[in-house]
Amino acid sequence: MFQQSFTDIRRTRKRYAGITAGHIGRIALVVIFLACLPVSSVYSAAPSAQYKEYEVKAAFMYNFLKFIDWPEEKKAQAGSQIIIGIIGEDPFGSAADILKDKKVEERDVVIKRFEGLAKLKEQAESGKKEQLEALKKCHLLFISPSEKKTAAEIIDIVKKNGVLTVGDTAGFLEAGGAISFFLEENKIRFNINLEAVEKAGVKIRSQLLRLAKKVIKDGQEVSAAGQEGS
Amino acid sequence: MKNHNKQTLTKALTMLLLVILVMLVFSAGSLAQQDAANDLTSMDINDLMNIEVASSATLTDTKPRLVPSAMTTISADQIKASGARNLFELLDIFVPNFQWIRHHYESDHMGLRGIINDRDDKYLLLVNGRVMNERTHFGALSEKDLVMLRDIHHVDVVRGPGSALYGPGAVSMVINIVTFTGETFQGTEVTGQVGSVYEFYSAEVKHGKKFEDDDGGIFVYAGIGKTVGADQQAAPQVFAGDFPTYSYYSWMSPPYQFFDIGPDGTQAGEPLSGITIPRDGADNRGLPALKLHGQITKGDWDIWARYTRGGKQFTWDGGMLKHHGATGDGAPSWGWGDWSPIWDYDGHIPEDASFNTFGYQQYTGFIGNSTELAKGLELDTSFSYDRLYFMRLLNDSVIDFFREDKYYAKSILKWQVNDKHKIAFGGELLHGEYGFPGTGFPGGDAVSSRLNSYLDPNLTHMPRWSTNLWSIMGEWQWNINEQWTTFLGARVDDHTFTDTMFSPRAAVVYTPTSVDTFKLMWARSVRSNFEEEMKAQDINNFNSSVSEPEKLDSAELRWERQINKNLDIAASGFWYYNLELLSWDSTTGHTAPIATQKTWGVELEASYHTDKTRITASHSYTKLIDFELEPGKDTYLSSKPFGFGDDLANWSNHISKIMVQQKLDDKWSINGSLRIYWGFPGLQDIGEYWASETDPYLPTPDFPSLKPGYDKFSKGSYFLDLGLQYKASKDLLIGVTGYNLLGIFDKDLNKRNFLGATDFRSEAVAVGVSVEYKF
Repeated sequence: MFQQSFTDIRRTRKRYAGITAGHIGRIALVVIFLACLPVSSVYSAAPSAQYKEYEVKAAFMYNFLKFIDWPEEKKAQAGSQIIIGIIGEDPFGSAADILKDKKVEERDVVIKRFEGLAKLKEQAESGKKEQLEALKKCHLLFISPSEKKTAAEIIDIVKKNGVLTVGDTAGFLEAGGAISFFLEENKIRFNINLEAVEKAGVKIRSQLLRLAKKVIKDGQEVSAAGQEGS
Repeated sequence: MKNHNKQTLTKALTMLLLVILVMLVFSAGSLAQQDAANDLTSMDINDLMNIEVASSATLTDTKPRLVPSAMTTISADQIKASGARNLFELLDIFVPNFQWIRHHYESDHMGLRGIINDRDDKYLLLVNGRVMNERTHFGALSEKDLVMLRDIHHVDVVRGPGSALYGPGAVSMVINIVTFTGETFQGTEVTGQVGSVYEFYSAEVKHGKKFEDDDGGIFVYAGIGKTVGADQQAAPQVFAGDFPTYSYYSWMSPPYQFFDIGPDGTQAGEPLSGITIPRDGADNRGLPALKLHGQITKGDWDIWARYTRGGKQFTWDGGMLKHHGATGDGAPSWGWGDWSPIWDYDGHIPEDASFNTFGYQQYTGFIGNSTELAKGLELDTSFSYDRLYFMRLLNDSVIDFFREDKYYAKSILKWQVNDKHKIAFGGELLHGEYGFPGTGFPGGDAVSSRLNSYLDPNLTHMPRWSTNLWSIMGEWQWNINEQWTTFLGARVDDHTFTDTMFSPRAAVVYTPTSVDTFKLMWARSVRSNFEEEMKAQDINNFNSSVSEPEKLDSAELRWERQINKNLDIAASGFWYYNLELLSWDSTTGHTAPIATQKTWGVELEASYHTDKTRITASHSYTKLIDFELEPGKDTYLSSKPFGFGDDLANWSNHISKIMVQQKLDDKWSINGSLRIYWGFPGLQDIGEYWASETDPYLPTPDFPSLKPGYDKFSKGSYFLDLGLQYKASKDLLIGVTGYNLLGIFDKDLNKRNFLGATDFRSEAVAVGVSVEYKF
């Protein structure tokens, strides 16, 4: 008798267990409420994908290029190219691939990798000064962590050549660097040394200054708003 | 007719959810350029500043787009916004095709894609990449129940098999908790939380500081929490069978004599009454949960130490309600009437009373170094140690009480050969020592019920033993061209009690356009049995046994599309075509190879994110294809082999999840999450199978009977949380969360099932408040 009852239950019961009509209505209201929470598409993106640190830094550098005005002679010198140099042991690796085939204001972005300063100086002493000179042709030069100790010397070599120096080591701005990356709660931030920018002979547009965590001039933090048009 | 209406309405609700997903996809898609590049250069600086840098699920470094796995990342902001009261709740909210289920005899369980068990040894739980699983008895034990979550920077969940990368045990998934460091958190922050109805309290403080040379930093954290839980009015337990009005003088054999009993007359589907049951979620013996973490990162070095203490009480099954206690005249009574009122008072009982509970303490130390040996050649090396104490009491008896010590050493060499080829190769050693005496309550010698029952029922001592797990692993990544990348990897593990275990993985990633990515993945994952079972078998076989490992062969096809810079969608289809199961066999009392299980499933995901809005939604479907039970074996995982249905017994075939976070202005934000387990047809099947095997009018010790026609326990479960956050100042954040709000209308909507049982206990409708202040 019991077996018969269970057989009947199996035959008649719903495979897809439901809930009561009243529940459905209430849940539907809640779902609709959730779905109708204001969804704006006008705000800027905040993607949640997992990116490598240097991929993001490469993208930052690409964006920097859009907010920099170089001296006229620099523009003429490089022709149709914008050169991003990386000096020292390259921390980007394939992360810099995202800049391949990119353009800024119709000019091709080109990546040039340089060996460390010690090696470049060796070459120069043996008469091969091409690499050292090529450094000065960069529009943006990333000084790798491996060159932390020689950063000030590198900056000194390229100064007055319209080269925007970028780094991510401690004390980079103090060494005379223009833009320094740092991590804050695993998000990339940057500070700007306005004095170094001016010495390099380039101009940073106010939009970029406003996004910097700190803008430093003469060792003091200054308001980005007050530096617009620098 | 009524049934027809229900089905129609249920389908309508399903359609509603799908329509919302589709609307999300197409409405947002029309607002932006369809061919937005799926690379970072399409983002402006504002976008880039919102990107979090995280790890990826490969040995060799790769672009995130090419990572050959389905992965969910939950950030600290999402943890905060969700109001999650533990890791169970957090993952239940965010991870597609993830399920959380209760158990009468062990800690609650986590499962993914239909793989769930009476122990949590089918997945790995990592902290900062270091495996934290307990190995003697249970598996992933620590961290999950703790109410304090503010030390967590993010959680990565690698969905699907991952033995080739993470080692034995990574069968269903890998959960990696990544803590803050001095580089990712600076300053001091204190957080206090309090919950009502489901009563809990917590206090947490963390401090992070970068070193002056900017090369690393220090991070320290301390958290304490107390969960009193919810009483049975707020979190009722509901059985599938009727309780008789009278108990029996001798329930095992006639003639029966009748006595008044506690839950007399409670009918199937009604909240258990007439007896006080443990509060839901109450801490182990009322002991506050603790978590301490300290970490120093400096140059190439990463050094951290961690301590956790946790544990929970179990909700009784029908058998426990029936057997225990004795009235003055020697007749059995229902429940432990002499001390049960204490549960009402503060959710725990004095140390000298009977109860069912588990508890743990874990001490971990880790030191890791990452050195660049030459250009493109990096060596990652780590050493770590942990000491884990475990105790479990059932029916006032010490079931488990022991300590295990584990030593890990790992070294991986990563070599970028050129632009196209990357190779990683390494080795790992895990030395485990087991059977040490525990510490604190209940005291005495080490005890393992499993081992004692094998050796000698009268033996009170747990033996001491040690095992080694030697492993080598490697991966080759070949970037063939702009569109094609392949991954080929493998890991070989050799455990003292097993033959060599081999887990290969192969994947092809195809990126035909800038917004589409296709991933075809094949993998074999393995795991060995838990240590006390393997030791018991070894003793039983005079030190000559070889324990069979579990093996999962799987294939998965995944498609990811970036509709625009705000909207991502993804779809996965998985085919687990050969899962050679290790699971509980009640006929032999072993955890042993019992069956081959085959399943398939699909997962649909959408993620919409702006700086003010974040929506994640998913729907998953998992279906049993076959379950071939070994002759003479028994299982609670499916009743298909017994001719009852064709589903997994402890899994909802359809699961939907949606989480919405919305900033209203600079001060206010709201959030809501809805999780729907659409129904458990396999549980109905196995309930009917069990009922057919027993007298349906008597609750049995393990499985209270199923009343003919009763199916409430196998219906859907619906969990809705709504929260509000107010940023009072730049340093002060106040949050309020309402939990399981659908229970306002009907508590049964919030039911959470038990593994291998037909009763359920509802999650309480509750409220929690958090206050966070940053100095």
